[in-house]
Amino acid sequence: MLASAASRKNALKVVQPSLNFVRGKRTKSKGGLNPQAQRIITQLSVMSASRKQPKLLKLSREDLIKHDMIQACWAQYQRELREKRTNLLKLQYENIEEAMNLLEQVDPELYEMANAEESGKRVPLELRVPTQYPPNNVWYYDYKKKD
Amino acid sequence: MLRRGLHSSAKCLEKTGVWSDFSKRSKSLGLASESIKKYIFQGDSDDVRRRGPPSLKRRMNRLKYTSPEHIDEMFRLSYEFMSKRAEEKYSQLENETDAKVRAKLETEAELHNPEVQYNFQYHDKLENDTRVIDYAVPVYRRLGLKHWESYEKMLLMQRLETLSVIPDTLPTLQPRVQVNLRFPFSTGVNKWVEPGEILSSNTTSMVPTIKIQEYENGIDFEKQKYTVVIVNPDEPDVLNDTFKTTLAFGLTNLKIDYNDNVVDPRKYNESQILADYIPPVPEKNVGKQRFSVWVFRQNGDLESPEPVDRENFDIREFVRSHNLDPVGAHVWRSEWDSNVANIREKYGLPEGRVFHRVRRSVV
Amino acid sequence: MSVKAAASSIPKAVKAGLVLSRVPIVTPELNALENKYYQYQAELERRLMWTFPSYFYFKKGTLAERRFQSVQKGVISKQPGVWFPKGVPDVRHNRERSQKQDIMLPREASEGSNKSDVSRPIVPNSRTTKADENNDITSLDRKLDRTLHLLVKDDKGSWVLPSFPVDIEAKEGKKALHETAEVGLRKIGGEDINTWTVSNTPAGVLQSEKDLQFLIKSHIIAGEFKLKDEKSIKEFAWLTKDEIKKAVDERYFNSIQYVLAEN
Repeated sequence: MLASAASRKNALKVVQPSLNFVRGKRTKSKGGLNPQAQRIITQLSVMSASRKQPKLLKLSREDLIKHDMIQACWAQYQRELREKRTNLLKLQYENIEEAMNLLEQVDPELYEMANAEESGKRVPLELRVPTQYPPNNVWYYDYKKKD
Repeated sequence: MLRRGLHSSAKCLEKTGVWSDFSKRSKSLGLASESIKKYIFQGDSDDVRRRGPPSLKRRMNRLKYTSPEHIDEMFRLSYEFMSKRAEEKYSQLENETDAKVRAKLETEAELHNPEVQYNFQYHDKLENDTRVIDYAVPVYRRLGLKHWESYEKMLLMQRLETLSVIPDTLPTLQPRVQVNLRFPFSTGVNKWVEPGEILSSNTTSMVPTIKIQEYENGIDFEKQKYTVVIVNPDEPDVLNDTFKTTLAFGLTNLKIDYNDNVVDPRKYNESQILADYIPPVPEKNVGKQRFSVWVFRQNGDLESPEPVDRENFDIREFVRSHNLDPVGAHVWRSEWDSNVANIREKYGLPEGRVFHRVRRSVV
Repeated sequence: MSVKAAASSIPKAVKAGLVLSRVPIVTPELNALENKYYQYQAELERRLMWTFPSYFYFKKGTLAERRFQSVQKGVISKQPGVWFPKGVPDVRHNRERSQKQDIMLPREASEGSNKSDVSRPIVPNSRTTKADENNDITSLDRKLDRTLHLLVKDDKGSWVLPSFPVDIEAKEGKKALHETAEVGLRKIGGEDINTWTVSNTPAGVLQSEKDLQFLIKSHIIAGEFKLKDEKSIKEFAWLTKDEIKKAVDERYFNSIQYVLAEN
């Protein structure tokens, strides 16, 4: 960039800038650290608890009693649900046992077919996991039989 | 964040349900303090919230305090849920006749009652006020048992084993009774003694009081009697170059209760004293002497206590012959100090011997 | 011994009953206790959560950081000579340590942008459908949070699970119970149903004087049950377990209750 020496008498000195092409933004680093090291330090600080942990939660006596009661109630509720579930499972198993015992007496061939091993059977992908809100198309009605 | 509590339903919470009906239940199962009850059951009403928790004494701390959000509504739901379960337990109790099952149902019905929990956790368990913690009620017994087992029972067993009280006096112990010891009549420090503590001769110069706390259900205190024996296994026997056990104190046929269980001179008469109290008077350079307190359940009455040999007391023989059941123990240690001579004079005991100093690694 | 043998040799017709269920499409509804408990625990968690490291996600000097900081509520730091009745503030990384941190997210400036824009606000679909409002019991869209089971009305007019006769006598080409159920379903409900049989083992058995119904469980994945005008079946319905309890007589319900899904 040479300026005409005659026209510009002012001291617009032409300085040839030395351009070092570096990857990443040209940021001023405080503490004299290179950006890569600074990045690592930031990531480590994000993962650590220092200066990010809130104050210890201290409950008064009455609130502690209330909290203990809430936890006891929840534990009891879950215990009852669990017992109901295991009881249901037990009854379902007994149902299956009763059915198979009868089937064995009635028709041994059907019994064998009912007892056949189904290794490699997987739940189909189309059996969708329930979500909090339904999809835009709630149900696929247009299914056509495949041959 | 709900600011306004529903006053009508809030009032009802503590007034309805099994846990508010005291016609058939002990008064100790409820909270005595109105302010605390109000804070627990009506925590979201404006004036209660403004005043802050009554357990914080300083007004500054009360102003600074904020409770977790939604705690009061959730507490209300939990209280209804758990009191319904308690109601079912009480209705089961009406048809139940087996004593063990009855005790179990009674404890389970009240275990999660917030008033019971507050009463137990934040009031004195050792010197209990019967209106607050009543050990005659099965729930408080269970809570007391769990509290004892969580620390003090383990501490006692550790001290008994470390100081070798356990093999040296009786072979072992399954502690079922909490034993606490204090020396209130001496001019020394009057506090509950920790097992294994080294006490000065002044502290132990007067007769101790022993608190025997039973936690088991179904004890008939009309018939059940107790024996207390304090034994020193470290009395030097120079003739045989060994140590012998001496009996420091002995009481029999004691009657206690779940609450009224402090054994002091007011509680027994002359006939129940097996051996009257001779305070620890250790001799110089003998080392630390262990004084182990043993509490036994008697199987029937102890007939006229025959004169026991105090100087050579065989505790195992004593237990075997009188068919006693060791249920609790305690231990303290005593050493020679300059006051022992005064105590010997006061009690009319002979002067103590002075032994050579022996280099010992332990005790 | 001989009496027992005679009893078991009375021939009963064997049928394959079908328990066809549509699994829930949406998560189950929570009751008041669960809702409140989760709220309470969520608030506790928020109170105890670490401070958001905004210096990592919004780099200093960027426009995003400026937009973010402008939306945040300011925090009061401690100052000498000021009395703080609620306690001296303890602030680290712009967060008051004794309280939960409230992060406000900057709202998008443009409202009413075209629907295909990725940054448009998320509006979830409603958990109740038209079928819920109309109470259409033949629809699969009803009660998305519950399991629906297929029931048909037999010639006596009572609601039962569909069942299909099994040919025991056939020497060759004997179909297994689950195959009979699958074929039978397509015969009464049309070919365009996609189902998945849970197992070839029957889940239960229904015993009456003349027949023995072995129940096979399966799930409908896609398609629809289109009733072919048949003499035997007049109506069909997709019902939840409690609705089945109301619609079906007591003895029948007691024998099938463990085969139906609770939720």
